[in-house]
Amino acid sequence: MQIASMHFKERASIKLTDSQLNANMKKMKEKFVVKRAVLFAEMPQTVHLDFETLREEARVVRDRALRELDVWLEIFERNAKKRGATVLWAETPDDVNALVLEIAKKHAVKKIIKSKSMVSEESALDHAIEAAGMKVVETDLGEYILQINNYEPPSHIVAPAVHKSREEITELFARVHGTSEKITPEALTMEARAVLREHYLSSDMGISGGNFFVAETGSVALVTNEGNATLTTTMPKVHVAISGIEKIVPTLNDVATLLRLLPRSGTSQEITNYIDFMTGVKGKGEIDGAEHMYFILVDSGRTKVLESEMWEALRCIRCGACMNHCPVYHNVGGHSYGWVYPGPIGSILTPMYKGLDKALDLPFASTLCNQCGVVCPVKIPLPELQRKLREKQMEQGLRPWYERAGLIMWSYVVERPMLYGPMSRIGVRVMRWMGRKDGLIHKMPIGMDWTLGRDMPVPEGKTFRELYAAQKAGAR
Amino acid sequence: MSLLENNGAARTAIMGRVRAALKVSGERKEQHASAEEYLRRNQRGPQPTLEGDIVQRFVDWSVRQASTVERIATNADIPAAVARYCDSINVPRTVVTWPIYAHLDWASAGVMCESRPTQGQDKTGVTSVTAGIAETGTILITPSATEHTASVLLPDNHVAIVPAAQIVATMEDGYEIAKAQNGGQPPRAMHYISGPSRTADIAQTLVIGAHGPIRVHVIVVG
Repeated sequence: MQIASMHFKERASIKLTDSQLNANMKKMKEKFVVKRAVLFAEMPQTVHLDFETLREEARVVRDRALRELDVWLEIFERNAKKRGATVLWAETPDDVNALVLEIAKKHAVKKIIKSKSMVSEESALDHAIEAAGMKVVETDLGEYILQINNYEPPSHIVAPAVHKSREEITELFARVHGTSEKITPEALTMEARAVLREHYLSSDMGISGGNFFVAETGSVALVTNEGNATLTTTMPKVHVAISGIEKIVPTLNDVATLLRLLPRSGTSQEITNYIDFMTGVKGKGEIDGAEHMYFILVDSGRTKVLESEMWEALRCIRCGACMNHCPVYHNVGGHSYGWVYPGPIGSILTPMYKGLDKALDLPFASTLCNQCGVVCPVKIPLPELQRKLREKQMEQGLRPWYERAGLIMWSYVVERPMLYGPMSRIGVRVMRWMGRKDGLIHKMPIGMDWTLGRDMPVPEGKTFRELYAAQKAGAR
Repeated sequence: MSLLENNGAARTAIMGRVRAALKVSGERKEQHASAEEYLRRNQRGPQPTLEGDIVQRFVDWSVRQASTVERIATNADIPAAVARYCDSINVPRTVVTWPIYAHLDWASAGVMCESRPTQGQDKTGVTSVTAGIAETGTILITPSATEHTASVLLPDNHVAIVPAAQIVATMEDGYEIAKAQNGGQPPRAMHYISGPSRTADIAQTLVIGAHGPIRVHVIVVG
């Protein structure tokens, strides 16, 4: 996928005034925020477990894999091979596409069916498949909607079409399928079910992502609600599972721990409808299952993150809770972020995978309110990482001159109390004068944007230093 | 050059970068040994405590997943229960099943039952399960030569026969059963299925019935 993260500000300002998008995003709150909170609050009653205990264990599980990643990758590879699968490695997004095309050619594939894979979005795999003259069909309903809408980019990692209204989809289906306009989500879903059903039975290759790669058994774990990944990995004769090298988890038991958090965090469910562990090729006499199984383990920047201070971002299990709880994401939508992963986790991964200079605004697309950090099921300190990226930008001279100059001046002043005291005293008085009429400042000489949609209340009373000095004198 | 046939260089490069990032090198014998030890211990994370009768919990949570449930006494009651279910949802009493239930007296219950893999034309599939998971109201399906996944996934209606003795507490318990039936290794597929397929991809509205079955009916035996 072409990166457009450098246009965050322009895109975000357009999206802010998109009333249809704003209405669609508002609906997210009930399902993704309120219901999630209820589920975790109920957990001590329903299973006698609590969120904090579980997520600490989940953090330990993820860190165990990441801290000895080379060892677990080798164990995974060995066990996957034992079961007849082929394990392949891709250094770059282009490698992913090249491998898929070669596999398809080797097995004389004509049609490919696909369940959701965000990693394949990174390399725009569908375009590469079509350019090579094959047909590819996305089966996750959200991804399917985007595919038939001329490959519109996803705006959320779990609910890729969350930005679209029912009316838009009604119009789209009628136009593309050549059918009458269906009004209800039920009727639209049934129409997609019928259209996609025949593709499952007539495709010769299935591509899935991989929520987890299990080292103990050489399996891929897939988490879905629609049953599309189950069909995609069961019906065609070739199965290719693509995911990042960081998705390794040591044991099946470790996956079970993560699965007590992932659906609750992501879609507000105790468990998703389908959780599939696929291990190796089909057995003797079996009718279903792939005869050929390939794993593609993708780097594409993961090792760069692993060696950086940002390594904790690799714990991510892609639940989407951080974006679901982000006030910035809620207002500007996923497309503003300009690449595959939006929201707080995207603001870390995008600059790390694609280059700091390609996504300058993303680490700043946050109020550092830490809603994301509080709900993250694997304890990624997201605001802390955003702050580190801001520092890196400053260190590498990637911020504009006036920002750097301003900060140099500011640090000069605050490091000198003899200067800071009088200047803050004057500053407070000037601000009070500016808002002398109604106690509000309507326009600021610097940071004009800040007062575009709100007023700045004037500082009340004296500065802290004045009060401190006065009280100290009084106490004496 | 074929990246598929000559993938070793990519592997070496990635593993090299991983080790450089972790600031480690060499054969990593000690770390391999401790990883193997971790696998041998096979410990579980924090386990749920389920109150009350485990079978009742499974039934209650199956309903919570939007499955329907009936409890019967013995396998001999299966055909009549399937007939009742077909009538209740207004579909013909015509089903496809796995060989395990081929010998039941379907005719007396007025059910047309064929034991064969489905090609997708059948409306109702009747299958057994490897385990029932009480924690979440989930069934575990592990396909084999005589237990076809297609009969679970393709029909609109899936009837899952769950022997009460095969109901366990957790997903982890399910792994143990599946591994034990397959010489200690997980079978080719373990499908943990919780109710009918669903989606909320259109206008965030929950719709039951996406690509997998539209209805799941659980029959607990015993």
